[in-house]
Amino acid sequence: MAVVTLESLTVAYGRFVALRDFSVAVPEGCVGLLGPNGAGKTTMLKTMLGFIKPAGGRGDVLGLESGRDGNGIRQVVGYMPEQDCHIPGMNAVQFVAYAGELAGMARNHALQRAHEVLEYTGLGEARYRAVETYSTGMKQRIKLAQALVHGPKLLLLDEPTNGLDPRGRQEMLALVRDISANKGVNVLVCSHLLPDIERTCDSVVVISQGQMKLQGGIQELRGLSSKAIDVELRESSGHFLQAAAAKGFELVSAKGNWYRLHATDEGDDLSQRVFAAAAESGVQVRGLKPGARSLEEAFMEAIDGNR
Amino acid sequence: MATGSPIADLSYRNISEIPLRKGKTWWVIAKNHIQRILKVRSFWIMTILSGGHYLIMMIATYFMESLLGGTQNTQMAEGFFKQIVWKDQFLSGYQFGHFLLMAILLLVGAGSIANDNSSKALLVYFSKPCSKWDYLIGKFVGIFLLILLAIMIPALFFMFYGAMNFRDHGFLTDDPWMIPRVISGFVLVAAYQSSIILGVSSLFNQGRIAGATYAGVYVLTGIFSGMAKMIAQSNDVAAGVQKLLDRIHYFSLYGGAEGILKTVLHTDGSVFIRDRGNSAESIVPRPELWLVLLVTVIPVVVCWFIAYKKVRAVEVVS
Repeated sequence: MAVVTLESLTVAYGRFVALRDFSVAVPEGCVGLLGPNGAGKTTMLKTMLGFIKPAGGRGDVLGLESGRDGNGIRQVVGYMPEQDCHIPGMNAVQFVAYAGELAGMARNHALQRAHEVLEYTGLGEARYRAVETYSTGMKQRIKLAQALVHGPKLLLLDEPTNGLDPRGRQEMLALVRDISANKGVNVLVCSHLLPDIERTCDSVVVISQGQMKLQGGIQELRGLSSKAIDVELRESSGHFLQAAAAKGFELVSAKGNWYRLHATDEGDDLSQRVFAAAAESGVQVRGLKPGARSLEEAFMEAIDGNR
Repeated sequence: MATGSPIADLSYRNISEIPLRKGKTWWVIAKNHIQRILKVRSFWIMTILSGGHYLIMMIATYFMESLLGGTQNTQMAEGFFKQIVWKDQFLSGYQFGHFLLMAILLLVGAGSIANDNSSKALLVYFSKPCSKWDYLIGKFVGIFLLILLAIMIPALFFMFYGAMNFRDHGFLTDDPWMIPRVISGFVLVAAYQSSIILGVSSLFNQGRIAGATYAGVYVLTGIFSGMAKMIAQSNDVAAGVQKLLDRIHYFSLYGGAEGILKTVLHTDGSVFIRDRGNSAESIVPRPELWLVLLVTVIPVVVCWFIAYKKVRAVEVVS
């Protein structure tokens, strides 16, 4: 079941069209929204939340129409913005409890829940400190806490690892993964950092220039299949490629002395056929592994429109 | 991830069945604003100091009343009570404390939207089920109730004091509608000032700058209208010009509030006691209703319009 459905959505800022005839169905689970800077990722999130009025098309979030039931959507969705944002003059407990009250929770319930969420996001020790004094990493965490406090069914995270050091980044990604995998919350992670998406998400939606370029599961997009194989030779060799072609392989890509080969037939003895081709062409095989393209390759292909 | 705190509930879980309230988000915002300001000591200090006129009046009336019980100076005391216009004391009370009330307004309202702009708090508000009207009404109600509280606390003390001690001297009988008039006058003044500061605050990204701007406009328009008043009081001004200058007196932030009070209290005001020396000449007659509406309703509408246009979750460049 799709948690977000956008149909022919067009969003324009004056003459600049940020999203053009954009349609997507975001599945349940943890989904990455990938795209270069200025692709329209944040615009998509803000349109879903009702911050921006679309010029055309429609969108449903958790079964609620975004143009009509903005308040209803924002009550069941948690949003972690990209920019630093907090309410001045409050400590973390007050801020998160206030966010819960704004979402419709009773005061006592919001306060109790604020403590729980702050503990979960790793701010337990700093919960009585003024938010203004927080470091960048702590500010990222408190943004996550305020988005989680009211128990949303869908969490929208806009660049959640922005400005974090490597350790903070790992911890944030672990939190996102835990929220999605163990707490039963659907998560839409918006990022231009491929490794972040690769670590946390089950599937991705790739946007570029306001249009959807690609959608699918991570494994699917990486093209992990039993028919592809990566071969490292001692040195590059044209003879090897000819021999491999005779054994039923076609060359997908070549980078230095690394070759990605794809079997054109149904045979499953790929490694043996590679070794045979190597023996015939007199080259030494130094490495062999199942052929999986990186998400980066899939992303670049989608962006360049080569796919 | 969860740390090993001994007191925290580490059993974090997602809660999908929380009973969430629908609507009334504006009251959450107003309540939060009020609770935060009530903890500020300077709010209370300035509120107490702004009631200086009432304190002086209470001391003076207490002293005069004690004279009435004696054998000497009773005539002076009786004259004093005859000359007092009780409802004017509330107008004088506001006039006495208006600068402090302006300072309270700056404390309460200057940063209300401006500080949210600087910390991008609007993203937090509007990512929750909070509409633009919820936000603006919440902020307005928060400022309005605090200003009303600051104006009313000293006035209420004086009301009780007068009602308990000076009914025989006309406190409630001179004008039976005095208390409703005073309350509604102060309500309107608080609403007027809250609307103005809300609009000013929405224009800026820093509370201090918003406050400085409001204070600047307040003082400059006050000087301008004060000059008009001074010229009007000089003897060599034609009657028509004097009327015009009297009207100009109300074209200021302070004048607008004073105009509302004079209109609602149905008085021109008096300087402590009626017709003493030249005091009557320094009183500007109460404005016509159209003038009060002009100098208050238009700025209020403009300020609400500005606030509505300026407040939004995202900066959209067209």
